[in-house]
Amino acid sequence: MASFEEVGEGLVPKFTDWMSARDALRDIREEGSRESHKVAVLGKQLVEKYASKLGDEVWVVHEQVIPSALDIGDHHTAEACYKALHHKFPGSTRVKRLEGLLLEAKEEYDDALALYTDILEKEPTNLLIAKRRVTIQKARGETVAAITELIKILEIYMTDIESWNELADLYISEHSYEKAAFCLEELILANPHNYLNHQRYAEVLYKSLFAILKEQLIVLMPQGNTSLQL
Amino acid sequence: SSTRVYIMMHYSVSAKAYGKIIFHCAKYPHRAVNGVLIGTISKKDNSVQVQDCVPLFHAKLDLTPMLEVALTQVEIYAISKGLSIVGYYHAKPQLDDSSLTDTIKSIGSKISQNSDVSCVLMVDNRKILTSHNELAVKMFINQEQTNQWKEQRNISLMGGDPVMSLLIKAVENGIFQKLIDFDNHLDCVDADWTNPSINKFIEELKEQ
Repeated sequence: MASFEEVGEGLVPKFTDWMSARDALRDIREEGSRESHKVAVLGKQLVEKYASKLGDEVWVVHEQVIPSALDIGDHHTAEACYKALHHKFPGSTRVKRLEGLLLEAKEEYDDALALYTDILEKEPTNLLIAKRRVTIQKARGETVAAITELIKILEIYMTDIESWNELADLYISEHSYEKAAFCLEELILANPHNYLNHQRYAEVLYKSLFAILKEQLIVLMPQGNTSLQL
Repeated sequence: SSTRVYIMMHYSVSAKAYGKIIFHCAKYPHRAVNGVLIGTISKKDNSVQVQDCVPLFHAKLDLTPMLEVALTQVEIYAISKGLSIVGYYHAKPQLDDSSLTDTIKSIGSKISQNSDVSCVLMVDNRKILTSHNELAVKMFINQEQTNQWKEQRNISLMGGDPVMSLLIKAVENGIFQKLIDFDNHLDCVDADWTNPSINKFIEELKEQ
């Protein structure tokens, strides 16, 4: 039979040359897609061995590698990239946020929260930092707190798609289908051509209609019907 | 009717079933994933063999329309293989949370109405790929009389530790990326959620 390596051909990212690595990372930055393993493997080689070839782009690559390396558990590379950025841009809030990510990855949530609160005191309108607070609450399973925080963010940034998406998911997990529907309506208004939002909206409506139907049927058929359990 | 003494059944999980659960988790490490367990029940031996599993979703786990479609199709597939649906697995995105939610309990209960047995396997995220001799799942059984879900330890992997090491090696070689779940199938109907090539790969692994 085929070896592991043969079957896994092309599935594990491999560094070939610095130019294709640089281009791959550029494409991923543009698309905003989450390909952490690829970015971590290719980016690590770039920053460690080909930094001089990248010019000014080198710092954006350092920044890109950090969350990806953390995603695959490579804390060592993430720390190294952070140190390089911190050395180059000592007072930067953008770099401080990356320090927060490192703390979150180590599950030192209280320290991360303190760092973010600090930044928000000086920059109360920093949306990215405000969202990190929500992420920590989510990681800790504090769904209700995350919802409250997201609502506060949306009161200021009413057009932030990412927040509406996140809030819809949180409401669905709490079975608050009407509120989830409201969020999805905002998303549909923002991007009427995105069929995924219409699909989610339909499924939420189905679930909330089903709940109403179930209640009515229970009134009509008091003995209960086990097929209604979902 | 008279009360029945609750007899603990032993669950054994095949490499194919366990492997695909692990692959599903590895493919979507930042999301909740779930799926259905199919297999055979041996009342004589008081045991359940989880022969296979069908990975279902990595998004919208709490919404029912597609779940109902999936369960119907999986049931037809199971019957065609002489198997039945025997349980459900679920992995949460939070690292340390393997508790049952109301949705999970109702899915588990729904399955146990149509089958003689049903278990819920909650993935223990800390143990995936780190433990070579312990299953990274917690099994919960619905005790009929009390309608409560209790954790049971009576579960083992067919083939034991050697199989576990091979599955871990498969993940390290990126093979989990080939796994198809029902969500992938909904995006592109050509995608086959019965995963014949991964099944074949795991079968061949065991023969090594």
